[in-house]
Amino acid sequence: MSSSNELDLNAFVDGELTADQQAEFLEAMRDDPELARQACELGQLKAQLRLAYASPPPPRLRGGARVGASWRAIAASGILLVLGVVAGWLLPDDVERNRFVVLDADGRGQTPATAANDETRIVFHLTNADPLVAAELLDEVEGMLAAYQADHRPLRVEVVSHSDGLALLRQSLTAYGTRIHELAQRFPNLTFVACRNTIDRLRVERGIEVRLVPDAEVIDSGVNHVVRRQKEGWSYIRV
Amino acid sequence: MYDRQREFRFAWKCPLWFCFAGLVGLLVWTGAAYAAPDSARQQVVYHISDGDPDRQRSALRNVANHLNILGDDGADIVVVLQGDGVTLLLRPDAQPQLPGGLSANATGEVRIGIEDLRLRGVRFEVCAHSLARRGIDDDRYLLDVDPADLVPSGIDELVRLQRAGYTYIKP
Amino acid sequence: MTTPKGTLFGNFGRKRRLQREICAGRDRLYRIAWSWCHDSDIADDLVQETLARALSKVETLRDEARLQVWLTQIMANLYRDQFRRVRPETGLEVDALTGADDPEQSVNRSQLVARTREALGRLGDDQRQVLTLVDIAEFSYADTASILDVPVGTVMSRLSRARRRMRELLEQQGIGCADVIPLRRPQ
Repeated sequence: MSSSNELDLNAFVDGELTADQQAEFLEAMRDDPELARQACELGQLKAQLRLAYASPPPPRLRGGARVGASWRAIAASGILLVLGVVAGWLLPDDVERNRFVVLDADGRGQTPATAANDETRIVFHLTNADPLVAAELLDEVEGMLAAYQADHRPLRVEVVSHSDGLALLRQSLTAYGTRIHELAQRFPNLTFVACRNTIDRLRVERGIEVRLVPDAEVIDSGVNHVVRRQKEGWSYIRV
Repeated sequence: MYDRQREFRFAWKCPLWFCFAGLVGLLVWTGAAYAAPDSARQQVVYHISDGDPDRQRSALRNVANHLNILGDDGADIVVVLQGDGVTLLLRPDAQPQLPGGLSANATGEVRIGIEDLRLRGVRFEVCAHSLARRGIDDDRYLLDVDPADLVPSGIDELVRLQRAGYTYIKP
Repeated sequence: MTTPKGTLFGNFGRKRRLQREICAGRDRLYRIAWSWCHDSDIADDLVQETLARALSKVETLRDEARLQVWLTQIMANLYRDQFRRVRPETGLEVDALTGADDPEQSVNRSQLVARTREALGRLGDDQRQVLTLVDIAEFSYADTASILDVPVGTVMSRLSRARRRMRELLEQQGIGCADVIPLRRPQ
């Protein structure tokens, strides 16, 4: 068979001929039993190959030796990790204390202020009037203050209420006046702050004379205050 | 490449290996693990505390946009889910457990969005305390949350990350 | 919801879906890889590395319809650059076949499979790759050409030479093509 015929034969078997070429080829096969036999053989070879590789043996590596090796690897890294941690622990304290300074190479974050002392300082920025949100905030704050107190870790918390969030500190609207008072009594490191801008706006725009709960302090602007706190190195959480 | 076992035995004997692992441990201790190896890499923590599905979606979109700008390798982004925000990672079968007004939002497109962000390196941390408060006491209700990403208190975690140099964003 | 479905996460829903499809192609890739190297560990490594590369550069895939071609292309490149030096050991690993219910037919079939594999293992890499891509993976000539980065004419000539050689090798083993193909039993 000529080589171009052989290519055609292959193309026929592989379905690569156009419809016209295919019709032509079928015609040719009718006249030439040898060509038909060849086509049949190639088709069979195709099927045979497909059968031979339909289900190759699955990869073995998940079993036996390799798993053993990886277990040892895991154990080894575990032990070494512990060693490393212990080694780190034994280092002088300065290393740990200065670490935030290192982190703040390009002035991001609020790290220098935090690095100066170990006191955790958090400013919560409440702008939501939802009593459920306020309740959860108070629970969180109480839990944190109690936990830090129990561990003798220094903590300062400010709750800045601003815009709709002022509801928490308004005598007539708050659901938690007593709770706020109890918390403020129990934790001297907790401060509730009201935004004067919001109070003024309520007076001017809606004629409301705001009365605050006795434990609230007033600052000029809630937004300014939280920005200032962040600059001073406080962590910021918007509620 | 084809004889991993032999390679491993070699590694096991190599003292450098010890030193390396020791160093890793040391880094973990000193908190330097939070230091970006490359100072151009932004460290950002997103705080989601809203249970409204539309708001959560728009928050995810913010995160995706943020990554688009910085590139997947340009930012180290953690999303802390706290308060009602935990519903973002709740599977639909958590719905009967939830108090009224809340929906389990890890469905459909949101779920794909979360999985996609995860693939791009975003870590989703969930506040266990907030979950418990909403009657979710089993992590089978969560969308594939690694136990390490189930933090006891989301607020604590937000504070910790900010102290480690992360910039806080509330979308 | 005001956002039209599918646009919320822009391209990333697509990316995620593609990543899933890539992982779903694992078995198919493994079958091809194994037919190239006849070693399950190497094949598994090859597939693993292929998937890792594909996942990491999924955004470079222009035409989703060509995902399988694209994946196989990545694998062919890896095989050429890193894995080719490992010669297939023919005749190994034939035990793990799943046979038919009929013991006699099962023996026949595993013999046939073993001999076919052995014959294929004796082909040169170029011929073997073309043959496996066309016959086992059922790629078109054009796709095979782009996977192997050769002209379509080269695919055709390699293929015809590969088949001629296969038939010679199988005849040497006493397998006449006509009588060994087990008839498919009625289901």
